[in-house]
Amino acid sequence: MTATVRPPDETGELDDAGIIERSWHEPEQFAAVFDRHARPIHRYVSRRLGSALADDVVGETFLVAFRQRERYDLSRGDARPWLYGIASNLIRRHRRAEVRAYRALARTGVDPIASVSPTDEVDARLAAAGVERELASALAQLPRGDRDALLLFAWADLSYDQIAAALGIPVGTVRSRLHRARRKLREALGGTNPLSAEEEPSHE
Amino acid sequence: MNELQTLRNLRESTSSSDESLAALRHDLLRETRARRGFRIPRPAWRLAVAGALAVSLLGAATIVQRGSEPASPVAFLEQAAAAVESRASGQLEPSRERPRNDQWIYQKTLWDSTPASFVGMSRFFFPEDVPGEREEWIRFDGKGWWEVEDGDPTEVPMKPDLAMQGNPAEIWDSWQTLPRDPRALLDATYKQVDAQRYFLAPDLWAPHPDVLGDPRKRNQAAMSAISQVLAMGRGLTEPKDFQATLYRALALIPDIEVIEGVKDVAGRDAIAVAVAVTSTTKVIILLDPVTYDYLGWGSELKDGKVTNGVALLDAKVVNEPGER
Repeated sequence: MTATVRPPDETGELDDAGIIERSWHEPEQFAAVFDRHARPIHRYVSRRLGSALADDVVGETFLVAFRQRERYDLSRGDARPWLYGIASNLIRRHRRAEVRAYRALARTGVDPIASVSPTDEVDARLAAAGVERELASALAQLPRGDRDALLLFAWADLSYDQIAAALGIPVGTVRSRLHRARRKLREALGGTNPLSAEEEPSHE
Repeated sequence: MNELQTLRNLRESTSSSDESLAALRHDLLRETRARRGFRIPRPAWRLAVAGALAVSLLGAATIVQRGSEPASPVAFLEQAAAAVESRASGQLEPSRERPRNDQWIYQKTLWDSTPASFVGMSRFFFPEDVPGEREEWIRFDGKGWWEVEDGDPTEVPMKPDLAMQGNPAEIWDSWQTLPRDPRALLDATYKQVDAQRYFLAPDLWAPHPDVLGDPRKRNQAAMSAISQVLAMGRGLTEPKDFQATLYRALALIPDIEVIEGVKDVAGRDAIAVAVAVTSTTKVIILLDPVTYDYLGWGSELKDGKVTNGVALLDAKVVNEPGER
């Protein structure tokens, strides 16, 4: 293992790569990576699998990341693509549960992933009257890779480049997956309005 | 509103509780403190869990009812060892040459358990939707992984520069270095256990720390390590002399017992080789009563049938993923 000293940025804070490098020799430092990224990743996984499975997946994501930290590419200051990539692999193991939930929402209008608080339950039931049922049906039918790319873009706010890094695929593949997935969503929503088909910024 | 905004609104109210995050952070910190320098560089061949799992099952496996009266463990295991040796020398088995790196290990398993049954184990290590049947193809050099999804063999994405940890080639090669004398092999096994490592995927499937300092748990861990090798051996067509040595090494584990007339999780006739941790907990290795080959493992025995375990239904070397 070869360590290099990474200078902190102008705010005096180390970027993710700097923290990870430091954790090579001081493992407890890795907790700072958790503190920075665990909450949005947990929320992302919860939206896909529900909070109970999210606990498992996110816990495992950071344990795997910690154990792989010596392989981290220190030229990448932002660890989010790496972490979301690990999480995506773990989510994949629960894909059937994920798809079942989309189908349940599409069929019944009740989202099994939604919280069970009275307010949320009402919100979930209201979905029966909205476009969410069609959306859920379309999500259930998307190929896994397309769904991963789409949700990393829409729910995790990753850029095309970051999605490519997370999933280990070329950026061009990300573009084609997103294009295909969005077209299917539009079709499912009955959207032929050309305004709805305009390209979103790619966060690039 | 376009489709993307509609999607962003879906489950928008989802939030994460502070309690959950605090618990996860606690787990991570415990790991960082306990495992300085510990790492998992690559995904692992899932069947490796078969042996190591048992160590995590301490206190979870309950023998409710046995099959018939126990046989003499030493006599039975010697009989099993002699039988596999005889089969090998009689040319009844295919040659045991090292597979090519581009060949694949096919395995079909039946999982009979629920993740909640496995105390202390993450759900990550289990196939989804257990109980259930699974088919997988692992490239010999660990650089490919396929499994049946929705009825069709499908490639599992892996980073192209990574090979699977505990991959078949590593395992095959590690076997060549292990002793062929039963006592020496068992001593080597204990040495691995004491170092909190296993022969296979040592970083992933290390024995539970509780094993240290407890002779009974140490025996169980040794049993689990040997179970790992036997589980892998079915698919890798391990040398029969090595399989025989493993059986003879099992016979040297103190207090090992043999339970005849049981059924494995697939309902097949089996002979259980078990080692106790307490009066009610055991690790069970299941052998075919005719061929003496490894059938799988289990952790509970109810009405003569093993539950909470895995049945290895088929395992072989093939040339292409999808080939059975």
